[in-house]
Amino acid sequence: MPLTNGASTAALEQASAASAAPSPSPAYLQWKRHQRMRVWSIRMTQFLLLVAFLFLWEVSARSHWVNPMLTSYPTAVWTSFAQTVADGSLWQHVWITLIETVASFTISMVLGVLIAIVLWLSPFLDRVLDPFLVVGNALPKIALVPIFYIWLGPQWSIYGIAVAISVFITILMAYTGFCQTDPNKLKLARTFGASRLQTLQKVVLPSNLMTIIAALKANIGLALVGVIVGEFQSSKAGLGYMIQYGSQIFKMDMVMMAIVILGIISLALYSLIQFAENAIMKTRRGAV
Amino acid sequence: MRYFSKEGETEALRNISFSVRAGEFVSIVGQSGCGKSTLLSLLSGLIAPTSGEVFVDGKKIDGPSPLTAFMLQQDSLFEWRTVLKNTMLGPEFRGTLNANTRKRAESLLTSYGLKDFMHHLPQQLSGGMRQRAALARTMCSDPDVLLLDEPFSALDFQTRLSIADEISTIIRKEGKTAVLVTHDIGEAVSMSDRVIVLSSRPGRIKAEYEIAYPSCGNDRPSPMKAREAAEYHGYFNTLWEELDAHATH
Repeated sequence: MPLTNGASTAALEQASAASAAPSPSPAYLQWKRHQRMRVWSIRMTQFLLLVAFLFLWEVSARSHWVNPMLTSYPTAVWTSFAQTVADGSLWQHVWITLIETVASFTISMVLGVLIAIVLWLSPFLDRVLDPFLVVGNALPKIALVPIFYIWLGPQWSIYGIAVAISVFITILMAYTGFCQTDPNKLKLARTFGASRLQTLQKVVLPSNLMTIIAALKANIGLALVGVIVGEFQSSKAGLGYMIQYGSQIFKMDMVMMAIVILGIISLALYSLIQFAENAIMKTRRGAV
Repeated sequence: MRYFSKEGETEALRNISFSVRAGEFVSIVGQSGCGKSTLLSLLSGLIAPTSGEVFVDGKKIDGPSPLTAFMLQQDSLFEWRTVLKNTMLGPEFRGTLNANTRKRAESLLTSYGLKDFMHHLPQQLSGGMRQRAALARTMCSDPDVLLLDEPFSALDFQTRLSIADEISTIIRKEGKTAVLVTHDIGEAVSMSDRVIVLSSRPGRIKAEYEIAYPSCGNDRPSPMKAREAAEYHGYFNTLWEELDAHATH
């Protein structure tokens, strides 16, 4: 869904940029109307799809085509939502998961980019660490959950696992991007006698702003995975805990609600990054 | 000059020795792969020769020196910096950025017809304008020697002729020494005072031609005018045959 969002906003932007031209031709206006219709029909179809899904879910549970004990259904999820909002417990869970996610996301982003920088600054270290990074990246980090639990305790193990899951992708994406910096720009910097640190600061990092944003996008989802897995194992609060607890006492309404909220959170975080990306793209295109 | 790699060593250049007078414009032509660009990298101090020495203004070159400045095939303007900030890259890297260098950058851009585009981003400029911005960037560090590595080859034919004309006029007006590497014989003949022909790998100096246009009077004609001068075709054909002879070997 975020992908179609991005595409359609880009189309809208194009249309609005072009509309600044003097006296648009009828053919152009027609084209623009057509574009608007297209965006609108995509939105409508998305909305209808969602409504149809909810409706089907509700009806099939209520008419016992499927067992409502196992699947729950939208109105029950809504009731559960209203309840937890009323007793104030929902916000606490959401808040905890959000804090954990944003914190681990930030830590792994900073850590990942720092490691990528160190690797770029020292080709020797890169060659030395390469096999370890490959293993670290390929290893299913979920396997580390019990170890983190024992080492870091119930609270910090959540951060530990979330960072472990998301940091490698950041290192790899950032470092790959750094290595693909336009060789002509690097050569130019060298002809001006630039030091490696200057090259990093003035050529490599600005060249890779978009790579780093792409890493942010990959990262946010993975951080959320890590936090939920961590909460499964150890937590007394958070959406992961709600899911775990709800399934243990067979309250599927609670489980489904927590999942829906997770979906909304991930969409919101992703949109935030997308928003930042668009803003940066705009400045870079010189639209300021 | 030898390059080393796992597969073995490659001798790119052998027994190269020449000197360039202050203010002279020298072109180096040769087949692709003859080591032209290697030669420029050596002159700029980007790479160190496996044997031999390079001197600029009597100083031995042992690393990128402020005495020389490179102009590359791609303009390589940083798309996230304005034209003015791109122009000031040299002083910025060398840590000599101050009010004076800024003023210099501004006056260079003004004289290259980019006054109104100083605060634009490179992607808002045409190919020719970008190349002039790249020249301003090269000139901003006030080098004595300009090293031009096929700086016009990425441009379309018409832009290439007019930009070559403008840039060579600027270089001569500022009294800079220039070494141009190119495979375009016409460019070499019309722009330079002397053309050095390199043989194929390992590159050696095969021939040298002084280029002069007595028919145009005492003043050096601009490249555009030179292309119409009586002497142009003679030089062109001589160089053509010189390079062609290598290809058949």
